[in-house]
Amino acid sequence: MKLLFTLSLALIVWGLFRYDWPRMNAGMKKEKTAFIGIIAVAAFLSILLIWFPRIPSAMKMIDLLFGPLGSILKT
Amino acid sequence: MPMIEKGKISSLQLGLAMYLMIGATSTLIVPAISAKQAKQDMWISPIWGALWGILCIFLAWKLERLYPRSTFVEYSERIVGKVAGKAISFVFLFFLLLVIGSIIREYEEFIILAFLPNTPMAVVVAGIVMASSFAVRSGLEVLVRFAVLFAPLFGLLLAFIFLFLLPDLDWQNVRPVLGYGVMPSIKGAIEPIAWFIEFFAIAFLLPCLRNRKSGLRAGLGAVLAMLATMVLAHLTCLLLFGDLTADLMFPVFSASRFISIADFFSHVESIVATLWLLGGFVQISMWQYALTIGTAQWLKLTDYRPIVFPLGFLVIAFAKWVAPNFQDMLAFFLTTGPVFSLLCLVLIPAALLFIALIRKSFGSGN
Repeated sequence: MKLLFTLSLALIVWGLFRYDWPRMNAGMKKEKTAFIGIIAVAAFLSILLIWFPRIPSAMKMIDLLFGPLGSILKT
Repeated sequence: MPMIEKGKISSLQLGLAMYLMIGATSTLIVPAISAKQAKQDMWISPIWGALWGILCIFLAWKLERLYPRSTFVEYSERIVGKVAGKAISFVFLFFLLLVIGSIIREYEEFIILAFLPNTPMAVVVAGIVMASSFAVRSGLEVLVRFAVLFAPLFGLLLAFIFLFLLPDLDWQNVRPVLGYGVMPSIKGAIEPIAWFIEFFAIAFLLPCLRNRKSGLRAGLGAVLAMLATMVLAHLTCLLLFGDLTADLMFPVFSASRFISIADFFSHVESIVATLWLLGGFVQISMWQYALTIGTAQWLKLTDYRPIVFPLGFLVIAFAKWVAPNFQDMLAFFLTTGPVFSLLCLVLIPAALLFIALIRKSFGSGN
């Protein structure tokens, strides 16, 4: 199942490149870097979530930062 | 730097877009949360929230007056310098991702609970994000037309739910009004406030307004329309369910299931859910648009269209990552969520405005 999800992820990345890459012309170097960078971050996060579903969630991380302030509201 | 968005919108379009950008999920889950604290005074809570909404509209409008035709990401750099500005914008963009992630999660939970109980989450999420990515790619003008089309339907829908339920409503449920003082209604307002301050997102749309003078009026109109909608949604739940509202997941949707007139006009919840889906589609696209424009300006790109789909991919991952389950997410909305929203949407903009005003008055700002 996990392998299947990872494969479909690869399919999505392939699809993104297939659809958007030809639309960018040679001069758009910055855009191409941003394109690859964002896809890399998203793919990394997805793979992490597929293989290790128990990693702390985004809200948990913010809880760690602002937890003491947040607990005031709880009363 | 030339503007990245070429489209121009009118003030009516801006108002309706803002209405849906905040409105769709607020009526979906907020009544249940504010009912926990405010009990029979829950319908007063949105009024406290609206005051914050007005403050946020004013902040965004004032900042845009000082730095014409630029969005939050652009003027934060001009106000506090390049490095600090980039850092602030990064926090803000992360916040936007978090907001989109939780909005999509709310929708996914709603659709799975109401209609597609056996569908995997990824399919529902990927479907809506793909649709909204195509909408964002088409530009702001297309997006606001969706808003003009769906916002009146959405408002009417809630009014109709209230009207059709009139025979079942028990007006005794509102009593005693302010029976325990104002405090319960203020405590219950935490959630409406967290939603209303999201009106600061107007900062990403104001620069595209054709007539810049009308921005404030359109924003305030959206806040008032939103206030009316929220009070109506809260009243519907309160008068129909009373104290039970706090235990329901999507109270307004449950209320729509109650509609049954003359034994043949019933099961309208499918219409309700369809309209919600359309509203949610506009909401998700608007937030995704703000994220895309913000990211493109943060990276100083010349065109935002190439990064729409990669960001959509990131948004899908975020929708999964925000919280392990819906209950954890609701708990977050009651504790740390409002604090983080307040920091990003009120405190940072207020500080920026303060610094900008000082810089202008000493003549060192450009």
